[in-house]
Amino acid sequence: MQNYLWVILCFWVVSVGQSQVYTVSGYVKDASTGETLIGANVYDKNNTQIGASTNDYGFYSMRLEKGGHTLTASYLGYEDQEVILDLSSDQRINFNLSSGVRIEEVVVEAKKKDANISRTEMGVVELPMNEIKSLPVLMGETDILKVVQLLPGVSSAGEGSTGLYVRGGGPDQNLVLLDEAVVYNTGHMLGFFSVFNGDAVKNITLHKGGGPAKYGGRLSSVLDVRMKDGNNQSFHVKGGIGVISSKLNIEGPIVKNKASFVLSGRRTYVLDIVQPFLTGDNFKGTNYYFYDFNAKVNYTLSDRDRLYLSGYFGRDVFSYKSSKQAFSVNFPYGNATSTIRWNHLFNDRFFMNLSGIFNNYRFDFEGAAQENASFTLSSEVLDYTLKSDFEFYWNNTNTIKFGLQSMYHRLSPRTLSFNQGGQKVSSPFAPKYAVESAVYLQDDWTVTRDFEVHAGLRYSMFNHIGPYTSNLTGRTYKDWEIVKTYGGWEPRLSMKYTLNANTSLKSAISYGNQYIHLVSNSTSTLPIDVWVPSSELVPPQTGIQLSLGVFEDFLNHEYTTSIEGYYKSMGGQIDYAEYYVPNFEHELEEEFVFGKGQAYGIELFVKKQSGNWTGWLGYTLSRAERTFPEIEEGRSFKTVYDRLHDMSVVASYKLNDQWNFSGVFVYGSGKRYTPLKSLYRLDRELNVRYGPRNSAQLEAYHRLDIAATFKPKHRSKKWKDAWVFSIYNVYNRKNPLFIYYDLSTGDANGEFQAKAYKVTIFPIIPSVAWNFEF
Amino acid sequence: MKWILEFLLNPSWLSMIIIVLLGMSCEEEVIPPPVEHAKEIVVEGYVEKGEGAMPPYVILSYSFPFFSKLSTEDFAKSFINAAEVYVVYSGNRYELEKVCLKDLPVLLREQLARQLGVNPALFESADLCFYIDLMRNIPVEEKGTYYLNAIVGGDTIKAETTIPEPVELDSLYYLPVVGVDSSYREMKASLDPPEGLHYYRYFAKVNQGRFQTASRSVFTDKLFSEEGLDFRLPKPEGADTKPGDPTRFLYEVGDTVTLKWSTIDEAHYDFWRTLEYNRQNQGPFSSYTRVKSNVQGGIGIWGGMRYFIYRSIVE
Repeated sequence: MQNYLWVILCFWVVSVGQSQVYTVSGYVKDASTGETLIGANVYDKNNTQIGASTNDYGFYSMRLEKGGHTLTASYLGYEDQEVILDLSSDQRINFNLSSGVRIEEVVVEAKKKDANISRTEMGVVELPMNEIKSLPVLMGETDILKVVQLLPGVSSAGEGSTGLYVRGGGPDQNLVLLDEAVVYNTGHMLGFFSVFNGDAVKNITLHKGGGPAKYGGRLSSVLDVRMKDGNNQSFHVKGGIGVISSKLNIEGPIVKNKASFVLSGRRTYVLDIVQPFLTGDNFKGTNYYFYDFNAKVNYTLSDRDRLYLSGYFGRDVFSYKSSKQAFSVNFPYGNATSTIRWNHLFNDRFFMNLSGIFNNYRFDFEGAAQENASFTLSSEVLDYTLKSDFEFYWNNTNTIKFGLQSMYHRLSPRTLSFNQGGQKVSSPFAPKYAVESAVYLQDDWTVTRDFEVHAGLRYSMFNHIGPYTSNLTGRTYKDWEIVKTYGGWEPRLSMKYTLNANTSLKSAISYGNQYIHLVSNSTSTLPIDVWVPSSELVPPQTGIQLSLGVFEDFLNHEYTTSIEGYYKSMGGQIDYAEYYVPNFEHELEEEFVFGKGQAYGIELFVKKQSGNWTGWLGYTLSRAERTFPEIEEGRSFKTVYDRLHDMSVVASYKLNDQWNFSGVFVYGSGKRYTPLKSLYRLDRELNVRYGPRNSAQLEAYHRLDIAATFKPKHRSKKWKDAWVFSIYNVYNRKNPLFIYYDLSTGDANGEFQAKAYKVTIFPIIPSVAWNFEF
Repeated sequence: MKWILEFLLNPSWLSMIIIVLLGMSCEEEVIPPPVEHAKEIVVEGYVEKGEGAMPPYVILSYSFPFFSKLSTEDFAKSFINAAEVYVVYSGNRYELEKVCLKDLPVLLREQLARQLGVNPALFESADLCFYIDLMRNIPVEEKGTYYLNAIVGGDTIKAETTIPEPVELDSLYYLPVVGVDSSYREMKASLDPPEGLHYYRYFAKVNQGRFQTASRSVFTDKLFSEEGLDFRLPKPEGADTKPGDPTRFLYEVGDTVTLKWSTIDEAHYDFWRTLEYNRQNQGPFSSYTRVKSNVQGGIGIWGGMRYFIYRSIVE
């Protein structure tokens, strides 16, 4: 061990002792807003093998030899910027890139476009907001998650839903982060719209797999959403009026070039408008709306220190009133997150981010009825997290990343209380407490000119802690006393071999543990689905994923393509027992069964990323299966989200400075469901019997959406606006949301035949939205 | 309190939200691809102890493919009338006699039909038979375990049930409901059960009607406090009940209500718990819940119960 330390020390000394090599570091920002740019490339134009990418905070660091260099910074959608320098000492070079245009939904041609080839990680997609905003929308609402669903390997939970299923994983296997805070519920309006307000978002990165070692806790994907920092140059107001909602975004400097803020909010009003018309006994007083609010401030304390404070608060509120029955329901639910971060540069090669994070997801279902009877059903997840991430830019071939984090969980999956005639009854289920911790180390290593490796190792540990009374042993645990500990190593390895300037081969393997689970007994993902922690009875989910891909660019990177294959094997998969009936007599975990799963597939992606025509084609051929000893007598079955074929075609055409057109076509194999196979007479009624689980499919899903964006010319350069005209489901395809059965179809002759009906919810829907900025 | 659970546990309220929110859904008939169906033997049999209890009996029938077109005759033919059925109790074997309804006098036939829940019209066209301990040879006792055996062709059916100990209600009363027609009352019961977990099922009949069950007719006393609990017993919904009618779970003043209050064993409870949930559970948010039967080699229920009858006039 001692010898090993000596070797490291000697290597370090040699490394730092290279007197002719200096460090160039700094930030890459948007020139007009001061927003830092994530994932921008900075490289030596004379030797493009030497370069660096900006991290999540727009910081880069690289080592260059003494002498003359032409440094170039590039970022998709921005003009390149070059800086010529004669290097004789460490230097701080900040780049301010011009996008050329502002709110326009246009992808500007970029000079450095070989990320498809040069990036070492597999299954990573970055989506710029301007690309997202140019696509057709449902009811005028730009939706990040619906665009993510258009990527290969990602499928939706159903018509209009924002639920994500990535590479055969369940909806709980996606780590969704908003400024590092976990977002447990990503959907408004039962999942038809996502909680992310496009105006408040700067950057979205999807990792189809465990991602780098700094991420953990979910098996299938990481969706890292970063909020805007706020314009630190000038004040701007941006807004939009749509069919169902309006939004407003204000941002500006607090201290120019030093501190800025952004405030962004939106609210739906479609049922507010119809309130005067809800006069019947059944709907008077019934309303639904959602709102969300994003806020962020940042302050540059010094050239080495920055502070960020950001938060999100969103609520869906449904109320139902029936005057006849004196019955009312209120159903508020939503997320709240807040993140405080401190960026610190120990030196030009050693970056640290320290974060304190709070997040909460809660739903309450409150009902009141006759004679002062009332009830409340609640579910809540509450987390406090402290984490630190370090990046050490050792040299141009090694970037060392390490960190540690600890998250305190309090989960109250179900709390029920009801009160009738003064009698109060509460469910006996106490909250569960846990601490989830991890340490990680990763080296992004350029082994040779053509071969790169990102090797990471993460160790995660989950402690179920008291207060708790065991259902197994009856033992009572005090506060913080450990009830059960799970843990394990989680290795990650990504490799890239560059065959030539246009072709690379990549492979990756990752292993992970998941300790928090969303278990649903429904065929849809719902806000009432509850999150449960690992515990005495619930082991962690585990997953290993292998992937292999070929990446090829054509025509000077104008077209990028990839073919990726993956295989995923999962343990500790959770489902409800076949005979589960929702109840408040047993802890949920007593109703679970555990099994294993596997998913495999091939993804094809072709993207045209520059020119007047841009867009992509994504196709996935895949399978997702589960096996539980106590379900289907141990036979494997396909999951609800198994899609053999899944295809998306996205196209955008810029006609001129005023008009932009876009279209999206999606096709997917039908959603799986469990059919009814037989009828039997018992208890004076006809009863139904299910066939094999998920053995039937709805019709194939397909839909075409189109949009046109018109930007009127104005004399004032400050005032800009855009009209977005969209048609959702252009050819009025009746895609089934579900089918249901009618057993009451006896005719006059006493003959009976069960019937099935499909229900569709979104016909052709034209919409218009007006966005403005000044 | 049961209405609360009924509401919470019924996923239809989510569908209601969707409909209220979107108001644009449409539906059309479809014919799903057929699912392979192997005919299964359906058992419905009970061993009851209580006032006016039937002797132990079993109805055997076959299941149908889901999308088959079924006439009254098809239903009638589905009953199995060539089986050997016996019950083993305390090590003794008791044969159940086959009784075919068409051989019975009309009055008895109709009375039996009501009790068995069979449409009397079926008797005209079918050879509808069931199996019963007509001479009451089987001792029906609390805590007794009864083993059912049925041989149908080459198939053997087995099931087991226990008659649990009785748990009587402490009181039964009626209360008016705020906001509802004053001529209606809801039925409430008070129960302070003995120690241990008990499973209950209730039936009710109004005036001269037949016993019916609510859409959720079974529950346990697991959440009851030490002092017991007062709870609602909604009126079972009849075929003529109008959905959305606020009085559909209430009794009318002047009605004579007969409540059949029974304790059942866990397997019996699990069967009705899953069957009743399964009946209500369809739609986009439906879940996948199978019916938990205690019958081996077939489906259905062989259930023991100990019950009490409470008669009252709604005031």
